[in-house]
Amino acid sequence: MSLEVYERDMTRCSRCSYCKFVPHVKWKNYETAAVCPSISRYHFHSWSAGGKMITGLALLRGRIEYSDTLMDIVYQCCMDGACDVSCKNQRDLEPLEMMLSLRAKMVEDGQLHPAHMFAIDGLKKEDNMLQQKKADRGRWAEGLDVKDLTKEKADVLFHAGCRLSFDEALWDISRGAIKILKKAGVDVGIMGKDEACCGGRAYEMGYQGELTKYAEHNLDVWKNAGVKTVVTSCAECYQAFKVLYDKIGKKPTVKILHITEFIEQLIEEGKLKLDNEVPMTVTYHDPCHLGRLAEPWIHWEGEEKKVMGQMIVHDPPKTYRRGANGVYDAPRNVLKSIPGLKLVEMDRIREYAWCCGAGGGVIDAYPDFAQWTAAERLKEAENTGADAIVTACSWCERNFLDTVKENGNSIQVLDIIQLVQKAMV
Amino acid sequence: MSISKEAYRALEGIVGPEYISQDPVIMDSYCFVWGNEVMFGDKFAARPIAVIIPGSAEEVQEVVKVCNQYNVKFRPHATGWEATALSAAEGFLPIDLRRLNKIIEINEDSMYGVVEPYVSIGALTIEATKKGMRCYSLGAGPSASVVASSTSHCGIGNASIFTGVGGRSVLGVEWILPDGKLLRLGSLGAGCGWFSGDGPGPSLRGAMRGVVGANGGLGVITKVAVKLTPWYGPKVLETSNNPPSYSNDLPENFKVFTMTFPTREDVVDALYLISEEEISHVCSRRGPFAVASGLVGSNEEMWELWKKGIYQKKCANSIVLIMDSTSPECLEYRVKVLNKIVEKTNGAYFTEDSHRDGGKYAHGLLGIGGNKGAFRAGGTFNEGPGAEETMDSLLNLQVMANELKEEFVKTGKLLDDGDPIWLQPFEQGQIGGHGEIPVRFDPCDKEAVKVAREHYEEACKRELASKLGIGPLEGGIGFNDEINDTAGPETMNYHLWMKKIKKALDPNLVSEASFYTNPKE
Repeated sequence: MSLEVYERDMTRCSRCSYCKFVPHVKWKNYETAAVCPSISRYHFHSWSAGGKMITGLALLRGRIEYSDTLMDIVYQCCMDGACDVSCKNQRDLEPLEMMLSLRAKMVEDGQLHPAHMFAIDGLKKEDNMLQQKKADRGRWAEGLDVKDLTKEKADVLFHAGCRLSFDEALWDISRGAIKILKKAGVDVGIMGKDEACCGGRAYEMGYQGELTKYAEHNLDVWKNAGVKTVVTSCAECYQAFKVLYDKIGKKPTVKILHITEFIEQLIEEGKLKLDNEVPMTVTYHDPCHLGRLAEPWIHWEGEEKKVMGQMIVHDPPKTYRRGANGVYDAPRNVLKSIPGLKLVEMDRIREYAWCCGAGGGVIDAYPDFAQWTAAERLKEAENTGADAIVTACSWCERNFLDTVKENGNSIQVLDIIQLVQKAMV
Repeated sequence: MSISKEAYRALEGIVGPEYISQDPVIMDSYCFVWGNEVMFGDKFAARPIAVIIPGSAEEVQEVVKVCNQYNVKFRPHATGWEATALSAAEGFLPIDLRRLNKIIEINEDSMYGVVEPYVSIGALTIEATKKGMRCYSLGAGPSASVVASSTSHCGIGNASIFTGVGGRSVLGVEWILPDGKLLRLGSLGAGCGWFSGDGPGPSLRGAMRGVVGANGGLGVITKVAVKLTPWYGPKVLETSNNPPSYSNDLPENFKVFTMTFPTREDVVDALYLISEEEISHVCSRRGPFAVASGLVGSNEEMWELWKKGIYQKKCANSIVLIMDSTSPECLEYRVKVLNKIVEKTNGAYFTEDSHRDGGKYAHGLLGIGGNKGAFRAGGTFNEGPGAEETMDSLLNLQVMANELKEEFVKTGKLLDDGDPIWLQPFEQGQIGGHGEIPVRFDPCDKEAVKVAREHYEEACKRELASKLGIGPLEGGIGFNDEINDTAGPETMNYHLWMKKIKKALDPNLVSEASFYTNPKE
């Protein structure tokens, strides 16, 4: 959608600042009331979602021009969507969609962030966001004895994603996922070096055409491989496959599952037994792309109309995505299935969780801000008394691990897969 | 209006380059707020000359001194959630107080809370609740600042019958005067702590805020202590459901009632009796749209509900009440009393919705809900005739306000919501209450904005002519010289006293006062 589509939403922003905070009824402590990393770190109102509504309107009206400051305002944002949840608890507005459109406009107008250009160039050349060689993409699975779906057939495709394919320190997670699936008797394979990026992160950066390109490519690959299910342990890939592809009219015909959903299902079906005691206290970090941003896309096309003189409604009626229908219970259910493991919750969870800081291209362009955001989350996790912060997204893990290393936190950073492996006999 | 390089450098020297800006991209988000379209015909008021975010009261004081030195007009804002918090016809320096965000103290013995400006009603409520107390509630919702709503505005809310209002909750105050001097009010000024607003120590609350507050036009308040009231509910209010329909689980020994009455006179009679009997925590006279909008998650849902016609038919004269109590026996007694009152005032309980079980409506009424009832339907909101008066006077105001609104609703440019004037008694009715009529419209519709402005102007005229109040925006939203100069002569020349105060405290006229007063008589 073009930015102009959201002009009315921008005009209707009242500057209430709800977008800066957890929905008030969900506040547990004042110190964990903030929900937007951008405004919390940079302070000027422009950095909040409401501020970006104003900035977008000012840009449309020609009140302001492109500048380095505007670039920072737009891109020092994790696109985590927490603002969207808080706003939409009150209003029928679309701040996150407006922010995506603002980024797309900047790209269309040639206002490219240098760090993102570097990542996108790498994507175009090597089909990944980490500037790594495409030929090395399948190395993570060496020695695993897993089907290569470019040559063989399987029911299930495990999509590792860019981060888990190239970040060697995290290979335990992608390899662990395969081991779990095989142990449960799942007929699983991978695409190896022929796996490609999902395109989701590029889309969030404003390069919307890249999503279309990779959606078409991946859908073709899956069709040719003849798989029935695509499972991934990367929350960003999951959100791209499930939500963004549908949003742009390319809904997959195969079933899309996050690894935590799949494991939950395997446990329920008795195919996976978690019998080993794991005597730990952990807290679970909801990845934005598995949580609020993974709420299924709701297509709507129609027009706004007024009833009762001035009440804004839509024809046909419009249903808003408000963040509560993401994947929140599956990872928690898996954790609760592990004997001896105690799950304690942070204040900010589910649709109002604080972001890890890596999303929206922030880790690429503003690594200091990414780590600042992660540090806030680690502090919250440590306050629960947990031994470890557990998550289900490789980008969250990378950012938490870097921050722990930088700041010397004592809390461990783990993926659910690592805990499931410990619990497996 | 502009800022010199010397002044900018001096300000930058106080807060550092990270916390000051004169970049147009940043400044445009400091001249946009919901009241602008009615006051200025556009969402954007004049662009500021710069924006500054000090990190402490000491830095605020230094900023104010520099403003005096270089003749820079400044205006502070806290959370910025106010109709004209960031607005003027001419650019000024907004002092954004968001880094002054600490709860300094919550005192259980003397029942007060001390906060800095960016601490919101929601924040103080959540922390005070853990200690069995709560702060006054605000109709403006939980994101409004405690400092702003108590020292610089009225601070009225649905629970004002029990908690009182912000403006009357002020105890000790730390105030940086327009000339940069630091003044401590009440017991704080005598070095005796925060517990009293009047003494020992200087009792200058009247000069600081009068009835409706100086709206940021008389220096900067950097700390305030406000009264807290008892809370008989749990330390944490449990919630259920999903956005946009989060609801509070109603605490033990609490009940919610919606009552309907045949006439507005019956409503006022009931409000008097409810106040006298001291049986409610929240008591608010609502209209059909206000009652219904608290129950739905979107405009689409609202429209479906509205089409059924139940609320228009039955809730034109309604009261929503949340009853708290200390025990089941106390609750039983209070319910019996309410039954008698309803019977005596020809009322009936409205049972077609979930109000009786609390749920969706409770958080909004308890002050931790939000602004959906006012802003979601049309996109924005404004007040029509309003006043702080006795309940009987407000009854007369209702007649005028309702008739006026009906006239303007006929244009099709204001929401035909059927909402009459909202009323909330203060302090168990001992000092009357607050009334205001809501006007909802779409800020994208230029004609609607024009009609809302005309409604506002006409409301000013009629309210003054009928001697029912000072102006439609008596809550402090649109208080300005135009209203003061018209209303003052009708009301014991209060405006001359305001001008004298302004002149005495702001010799260099740097404390921007578009929504307060200038000293010229």
